[in-house]
Amino acid sequence: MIKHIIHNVNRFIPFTILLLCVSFLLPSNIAHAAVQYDGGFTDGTIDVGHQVTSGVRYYSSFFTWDGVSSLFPGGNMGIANANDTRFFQIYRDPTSAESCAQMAPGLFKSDGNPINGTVGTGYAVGSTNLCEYPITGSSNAGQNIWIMFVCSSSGCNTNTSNIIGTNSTAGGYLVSGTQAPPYLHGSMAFRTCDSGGCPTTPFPPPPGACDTSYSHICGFTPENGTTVTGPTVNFTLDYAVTQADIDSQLNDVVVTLHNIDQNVLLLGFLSPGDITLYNQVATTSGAIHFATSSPLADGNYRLEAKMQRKFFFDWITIPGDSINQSISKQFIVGTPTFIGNLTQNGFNILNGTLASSTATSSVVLVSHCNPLGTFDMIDCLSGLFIPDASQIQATIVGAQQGILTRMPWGYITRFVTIVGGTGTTTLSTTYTVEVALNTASDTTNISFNPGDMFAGGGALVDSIHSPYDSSVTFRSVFEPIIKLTIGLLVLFQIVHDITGSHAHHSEAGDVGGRRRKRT
Amino acid sequence: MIVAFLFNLIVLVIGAIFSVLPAVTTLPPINGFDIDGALVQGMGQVHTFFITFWPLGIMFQGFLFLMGYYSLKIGVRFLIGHRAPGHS
Repeated sequence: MIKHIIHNVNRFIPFTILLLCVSFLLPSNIAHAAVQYDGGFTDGTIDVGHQVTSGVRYYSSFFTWDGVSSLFPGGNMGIANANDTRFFQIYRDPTSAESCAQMAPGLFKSDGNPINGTVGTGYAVGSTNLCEYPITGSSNAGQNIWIMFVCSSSGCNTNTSNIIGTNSTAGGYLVSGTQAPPYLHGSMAFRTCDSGGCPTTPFPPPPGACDTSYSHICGFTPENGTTVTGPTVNFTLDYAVTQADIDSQLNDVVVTLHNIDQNVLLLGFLSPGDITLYNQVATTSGAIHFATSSPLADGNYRLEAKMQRKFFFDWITIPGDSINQSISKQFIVGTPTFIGNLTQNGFNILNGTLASSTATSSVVLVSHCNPLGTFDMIDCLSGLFIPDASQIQATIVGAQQGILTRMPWGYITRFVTIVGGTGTTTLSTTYTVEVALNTASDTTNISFNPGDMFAGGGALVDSIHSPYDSSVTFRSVFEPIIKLTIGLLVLFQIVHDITGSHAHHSEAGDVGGRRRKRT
Repeated sequence: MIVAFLFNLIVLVIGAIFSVLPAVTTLPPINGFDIDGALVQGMGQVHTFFITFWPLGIMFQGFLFLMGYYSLKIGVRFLIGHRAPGHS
């Protein structure tokens, strides 16, 4: 019996040591658990100028108010604040000119008095749309947070709207500075943290919303397989683009929504139902929503949404780029047609086979070639003869790494890689010029910072807009013209070079393209 | 799978032939001057400049495309000689 007990104790010794180690680690982890309250996600913004009169330019979020009873009920109501809040964060719309510091929020209890501590000047963390505010001074532990004011000290700029992110499904109400109804249901995107600090991750979008952390097509309608009533069909497109992808030099992110008529064999592109509903170069980051409607005759249609990285005046798609996306949805307006049904079924078969093509799917597809297994002629032939996109990409990468980087042509590859790269380097050098004044010894220094000068010049160029419509900027007007001009000049030069339409010298006596008279 | 295999085989054979040559990761320094680093930094600064002054970026894009065409033309002329288009 004793031997059995000792044996079991020996078995548990390593486990006990592990538990002891974990028990030493646990208190430190608890001490660093920083977030006390997380207001979830952002699903919109509010206009601080909404219902706010001149001189009362502030807005407030009553986090747990029911919208009916007293605005200041007293007691200790609101968001629980068991630990001392030392930091809090709110969402700032990146299009707003209002800085984190200018928004100057304040936290208040349900009796209308501020919570303990002094709210410091705000600053952006992680990204430009996440503002953080430190709280110093006496502890506010146990003082629940009932209200957050923004712009309470100096007021926000009424010309700048939509600066605060909201969570419309959260409890509470948003109240303007005049405190006059109607109140907006929901809360400002809000996060409180203890002395461990707040995370720098931005407030996420709500579930099912367009995730703006990467560029992609979020969705479009009509949905696949639906039958809609004509003749007017409503179309929507949602996509997200990151600022980094927009800033990428020498190429653009182009998003298109194209309705393809499937009721005409081969020449469907000539049909009036073949419409490009949306074709835009992304210039604004974040989630973009587009909606339109168009009349369509009865029949079958395929709606194709594409996001592509393009270069050379957006005429050529860069193959293999990670943001390239092409999604199709097929739908029917009213009554389908015979050719339309055939086209849709054909697309479904091919797309269904190729859509599952991942790096290993060819193997899966080829397994359908086994006559003793799940034999399928289409899958078998597709797997045998149609390479996966990932396999082609791997082959291209293999060729680049295995062949193109070899000496001596590897130097050209390296040069092309550098010249064609999209990385940026800041112009941080400051140049100082010594200038003589009255005498040679009486000098002064003038410093030039090229980075600042370029930024200032760029801001000047960007600030030029139409006096009648501020959305019509110098860039929006002249960029397409400049692109077209440069593109045509380049094309002309290439065609000129290929066709040899220059003055030729193939005949004797031909000088300067003018034939000399024979004597 | 068959097509992918053939592509891979071609790349593999050519890659194996040229594997005796050293791979280039950076441009060689000339008289101790780091050409590669200078080019990377220079192009980075050029891109920063083009973000601000976008019309020049568009012109540079056109210039690069034209240079790409001439490079391709040199390659084609090297391979098929006088039968290349535009060759006089």
